[in-house]
Amino acid sequence: MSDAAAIPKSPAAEVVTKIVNFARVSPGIVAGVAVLLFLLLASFLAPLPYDPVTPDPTSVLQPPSAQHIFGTDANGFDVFSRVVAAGRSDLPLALAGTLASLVIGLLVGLPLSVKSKWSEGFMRALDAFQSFPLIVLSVTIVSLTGNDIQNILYAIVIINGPRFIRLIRSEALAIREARFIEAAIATGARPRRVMFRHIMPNVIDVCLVQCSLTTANAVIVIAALNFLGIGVSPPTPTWGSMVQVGAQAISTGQWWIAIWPGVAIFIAIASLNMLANGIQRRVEGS
Amino acid sequence: MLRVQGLTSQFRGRAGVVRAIDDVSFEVPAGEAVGIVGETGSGKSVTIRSILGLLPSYGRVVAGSAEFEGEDLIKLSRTRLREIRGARIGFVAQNPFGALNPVLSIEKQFRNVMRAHRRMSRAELHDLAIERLTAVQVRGPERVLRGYAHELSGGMAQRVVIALAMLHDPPLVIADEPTTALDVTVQRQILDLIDSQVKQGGRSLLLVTHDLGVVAQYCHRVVVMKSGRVVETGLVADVFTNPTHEYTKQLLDAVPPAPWAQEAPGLTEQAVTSR
Repeated sequence: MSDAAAIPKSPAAEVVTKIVNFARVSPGIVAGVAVLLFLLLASFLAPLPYDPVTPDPTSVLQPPSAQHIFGTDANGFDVFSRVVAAGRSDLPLALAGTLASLVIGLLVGLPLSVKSKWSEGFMRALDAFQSFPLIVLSVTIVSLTGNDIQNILYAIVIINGPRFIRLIRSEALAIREARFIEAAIATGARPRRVMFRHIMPNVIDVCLVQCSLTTANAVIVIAALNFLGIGVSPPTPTWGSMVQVGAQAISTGQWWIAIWPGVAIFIAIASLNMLANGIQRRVEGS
Repeated sequence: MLRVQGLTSQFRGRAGVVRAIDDVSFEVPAGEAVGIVGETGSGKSVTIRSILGLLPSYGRVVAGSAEFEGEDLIKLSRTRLREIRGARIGFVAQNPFGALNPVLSIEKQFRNVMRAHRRMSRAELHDLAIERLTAVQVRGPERVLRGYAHELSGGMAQRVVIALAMLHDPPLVIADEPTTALDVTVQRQILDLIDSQVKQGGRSLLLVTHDLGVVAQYCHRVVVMKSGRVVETGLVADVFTNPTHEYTKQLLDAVPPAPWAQEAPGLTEQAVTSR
């Protein structure tokens, strides 16, 4: 140990050592983040063999080959290019939806942790709201308000906002009883200060777990909505709409069109769940 | 400085309304130290929580007043009470680890306490925090500031809590059993520290404890509580030499003779030998 520390290291090597040490303790977090980063970087930076929005009418329904490694679909789109390019809209949208849900959860959930008739009433109203099948509700809302990418964001928030509110409120209720909150009040801190400076830092860890689960859920919601043809205009590639297009071809034997976007969804969700699991373990360990 | 009169607090519970303290009256004169003693459940903590407006939601002050610097803390608006808490009245809690936020660095907690009342640049606050930590004999204050509560020993953590309570130089300090959660070996250091900090600033001290020896050594006056009532109050020398109430006598008899009690300033020789 002491010998290793004595050898001077370049800053880059030190970072690598840190990551390796971190990976030993929390392999899930490192693996999840690595896969996610790979997906994001690939979708934005990877050179695509074909234009994902220009069909080639001369090669329709081609099985995977050297030219088209994931094959082509009924319109002559290259499946590989579209699967990679779909990450450009799907992943940032999922992350943005999660962030919006988190912010709403904090802004609503923390004040609700003050026990009062009003907050109890709000929670019961939230129960009633959550008892709706929320995906149906969001489909209705999105299809009523229009085929807009923004509306998918709203759909994610409708489904996940209440979950964050509930989680943050219950955590904050427990922390509010802690002695250090009483001590904070005894120092003359205003309620808003107590909430955001003293309580909020204590709920951030569970929020992180919920964030990665929510992002995974958002990927599914986006795919589901796109599968139903909501929120995207046709040539734009998304995993959900690709699965939908491909599903029609499965019965005629062209399995490859639906499988690859499905695999992409699976990888994204698996990495997010690994991340959530890793953070959960760290939170519980501490 | 602080005059408590007829303070009565109640708790709503499943079994109905419970009167936790009843008609509690005492006074903390400027520059003096007053000890509240009594057994567990006698209403010591409820008394100070009533004064500071820290009762839980199911508790309520139903009668009485707590006059501090000419204002009745019980009747004050929440906003005004917040201005007084922390700035004019410092509070030292029983368990330092409970009183420090586990996920915030100590420096951040200094910042929080400061910003509750006053804006100050980070650099200025850092210097002030170092100065205050040094004043309460925290070794390596730079490192402590960067660290978290769980890295500190009990004595160190309580020193940090004391430094935080004194940050705004409050004229009155209320300490709720400040040494109960600590090792016997550091109890005395902490009490000496509170004592010197209070004396240096010419502050008043309201010390809650169940240790009569502590009261004898550090306090000018004593308030003896039992079952939510004040049974006896007065100068330490008077009460300890001539206890009028049966309960005070029992309490005094329960104290094992301790060699260091003889150097207690509040006691006359007669008091020690008469036990």
